Amino acid sequence: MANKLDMLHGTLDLLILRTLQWGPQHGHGIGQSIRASSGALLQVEHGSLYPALHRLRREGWIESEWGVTDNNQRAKFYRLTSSGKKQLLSEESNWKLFVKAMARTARPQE
Amino acid sequence: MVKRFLWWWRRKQEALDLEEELKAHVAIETREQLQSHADSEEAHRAARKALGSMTRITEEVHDVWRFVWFDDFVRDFRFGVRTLRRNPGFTLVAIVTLAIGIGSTVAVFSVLDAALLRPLPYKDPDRLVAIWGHGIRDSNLSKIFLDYEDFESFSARANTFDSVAAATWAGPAANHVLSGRGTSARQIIGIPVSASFFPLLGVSPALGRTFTADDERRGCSVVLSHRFWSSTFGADGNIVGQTVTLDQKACTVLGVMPAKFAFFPAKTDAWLLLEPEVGKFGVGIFARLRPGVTPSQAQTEATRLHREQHPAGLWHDIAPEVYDLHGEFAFLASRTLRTTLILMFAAVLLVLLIACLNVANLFLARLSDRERELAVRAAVGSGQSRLARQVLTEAMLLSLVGTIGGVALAWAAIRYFQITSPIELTAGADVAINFRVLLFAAALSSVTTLVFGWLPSVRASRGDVITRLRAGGRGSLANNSSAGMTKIGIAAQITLSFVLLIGATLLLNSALRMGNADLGFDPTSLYASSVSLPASRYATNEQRRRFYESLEERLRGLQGVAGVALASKLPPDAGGNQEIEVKGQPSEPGNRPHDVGADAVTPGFFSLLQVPLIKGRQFDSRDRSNSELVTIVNEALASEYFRGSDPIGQQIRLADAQGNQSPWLAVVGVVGNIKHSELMNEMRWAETPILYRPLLQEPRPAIGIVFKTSIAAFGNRALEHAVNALDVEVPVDGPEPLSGRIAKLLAYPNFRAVVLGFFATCALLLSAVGLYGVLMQVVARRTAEFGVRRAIGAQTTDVILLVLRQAGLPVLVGLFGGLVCTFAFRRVISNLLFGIEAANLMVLGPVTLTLLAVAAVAIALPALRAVRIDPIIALRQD
Repeated sequence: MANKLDMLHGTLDLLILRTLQWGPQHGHGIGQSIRASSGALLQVEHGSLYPALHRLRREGWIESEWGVTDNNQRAKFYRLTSSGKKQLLSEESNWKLFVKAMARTARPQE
Repeated sequence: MVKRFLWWWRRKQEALDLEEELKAHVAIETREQLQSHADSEEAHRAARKALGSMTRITEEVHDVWRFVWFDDFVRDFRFGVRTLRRNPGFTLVAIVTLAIGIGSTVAVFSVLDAALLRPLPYKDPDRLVAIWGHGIRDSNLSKIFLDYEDFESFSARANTFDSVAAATWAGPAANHVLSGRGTSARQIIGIPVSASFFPLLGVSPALGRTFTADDERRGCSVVLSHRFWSSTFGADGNIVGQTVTLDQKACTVLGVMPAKFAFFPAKTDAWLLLEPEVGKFGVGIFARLRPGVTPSQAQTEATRLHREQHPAGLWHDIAPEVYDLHGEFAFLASRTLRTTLILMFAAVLLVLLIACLNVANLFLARLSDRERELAVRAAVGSGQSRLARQVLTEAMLLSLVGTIGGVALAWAAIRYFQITSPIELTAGADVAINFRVLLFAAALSSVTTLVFGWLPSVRASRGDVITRLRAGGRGSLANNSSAGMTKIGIAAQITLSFVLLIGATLLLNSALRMGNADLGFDPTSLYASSVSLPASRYATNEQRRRFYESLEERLRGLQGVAGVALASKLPPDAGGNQEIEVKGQPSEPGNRPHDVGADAVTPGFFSLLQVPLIKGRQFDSRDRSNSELVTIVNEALASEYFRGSDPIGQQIRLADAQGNQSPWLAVVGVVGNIKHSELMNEMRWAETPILYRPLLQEPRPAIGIVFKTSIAAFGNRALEHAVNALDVEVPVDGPEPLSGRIAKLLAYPNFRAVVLGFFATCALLLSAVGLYGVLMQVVARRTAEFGVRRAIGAQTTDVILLVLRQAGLPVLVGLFGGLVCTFAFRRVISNLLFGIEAANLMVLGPVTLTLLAVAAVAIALPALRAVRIDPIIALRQD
């Protein structure tokens, strides 16, 4: 069970980092763009994003700042740090590898 | 407090921040929901619903900040336990290795701590000093007692001392006879001390009181040690005020010291008031520095006061030297105590280092087996630090269990040490597993974790995930730099083992040589005992003479006794620091060496001990009190004072510390040297000038009895009855085998040899196990490769060479390193050696061969395994 959770964390983290590579965004915006890009695949509650954001902030991959939206609404904006960018690069290659590794494991034994 | 508040405040801010962030989220969402909902109230509700439970989010975010570390730790811990249980072989080897390393270190530390590190159990012990005398011109005189007058002058006039006390165990001062307690008289150790002694140390008695200045004017009084009070007086609670008979005098018991109180010598039964008359043999001076006074200031003042007190004479040549009391306690127990314990500690740290290297190597090898697991974990997003932490947690688990096992081992070793007490330690040193020792064990545990866990943890977290995954867990780690690390580890282990083996061989050799040395006499079947005559009943020479004559006669008549002799000193105790004058050889009184010992013996002494007569004659029945005064000298005296001329017929006389001269003595014989122990250098059998006088011409008040018997268990009783038949008031000590007295001197060399031998054996075995383990894992990992090689025609020797190449070079490099270290450190233990050089082919050769042989076995087993690989099975594995 714990492992599955780890996996989910890994995926969500990757999606957040990917979203942020196009520029700073607030929590609501990040959630929206993830839902938009992954379609119905990720049916997460909006709130589950926040623990993930804080976890990424703890790792030093993103940082936050209060700002104002186009509609003049005060909101907290998140931005990739340089170590976050590196992490994104390695996570992306890891992810591809992981998918490959999964495929290989699933291949029937000869 | 401030920190706590700041933390709480920041927490509070974070929470408010999050609340605001979530509210903002809802606000934005509400605005969007307005497009599908007419009612703003309804839109808001939908937004809240989409967000989910606010409380849960807050809690989860909270957890991210607070519990992640602990949570991860618990998870790592559980995972670690599972991993270790899945590899029982590895786990067991690692834990046993660590337990041996940590256990030995903790055991040695507990002795070191008790004897050298822990402050003395007195008030403000760092201000306490001992003041000994040191010969200005004669370096033979080192750390000797000072004049009683110095004590008086320091007490009265020194400004650098708060208080000054004197105590002595010089000559006969400490030997007293306890009588009149229903049994026969017995000898006890009673140390004469000044009234200021106990206040100086700041220790109060358990019962009654200690001495005051007033007691000096009253009659004899005594303070008992706790042990003596319990053993002889049955821990009588009403002892204070009672009278005991000491040396035929009635002495009042003033008090009993606490059980924990100890001073040198550790076996003291009682303390008596020091009288100036007793102090003439010299006293040890102990003082408390005034606060803020440095030892060198005290030294300057002591030197000045001593010069003023002794403008000329024998004491003028002796300078006072101020030493830290703590160091002197170690010195009094044994001249080599400090070196021995430091050497042991250094050796045991090497063993621990070997153990850590071993576990690190095994760990590294096992990590490469788990490479795929680690790579997958990294791929699914385990941070690098998380992987490192996982490995460190496993290391910590091993270390923890190893430490628990080690402390149990140390406890057993310390129990054994307490029961056998193989060496004498500082007075009052209590070797035990206490809080300090446990703290040390805990610190040791963390350090070892870092030492053997750090490298593997770095390896586990570093490296390119892609190559690692691609290698499919088949040892890419081991083929790269970690293989290099492993090789360095093996070489280091071999070097350390080599150094330890050399040290152990040298010490073992020294102990054996010292034990087997020809001492100039034959102790076989000889037993030693001693009697001392109470001064009140044996005041005159004539009384003592009569007693000794009848004693010797009576003992000779005892059944089973093949020969008896009396002597003022019995081996291995001999030598002295008196000066002599040879008639016709003028020499300045202040310029003579103080190196002559003078003993009194009965005629049969030399033949009983089989000491060869070189020249002249033995003592015989002609040498009586009224005949010519004669002496027999040993070879050392003859060669030092007569330099080639014939000593027979020449006249010599002695001068003692007070400048009194003996009458002229005619030299009638020369005997071989009896080697004896030396105070300042324990690893030496000394041959110093000694002159012997007939006991009847020099009837000393205390003498040793030596007798020959083939009955191994010659009864204490028979001897005691014989003495008691002459006089019940004369106490007898012993008997003990003469060889046993010699063996006591070998306690330290033997202890060093045994302990270092044990450590060296551990080191050798650990290194061998390490080498074997690493190679076995290499072979297991490369099974497929070996299979392929066999399949395409590799011969048995090729396979063996392949394995050998993995280990051969590190072993050789390690050996070379060991040789270099041996030469570099050969001076370190030179003063613990006897009759052997540190860098010696006779030692280096066998040690090198032993190590090579053990390494060969450790390499051969995995090589054989590799040879037996069946290509077909090996290839099918993958």
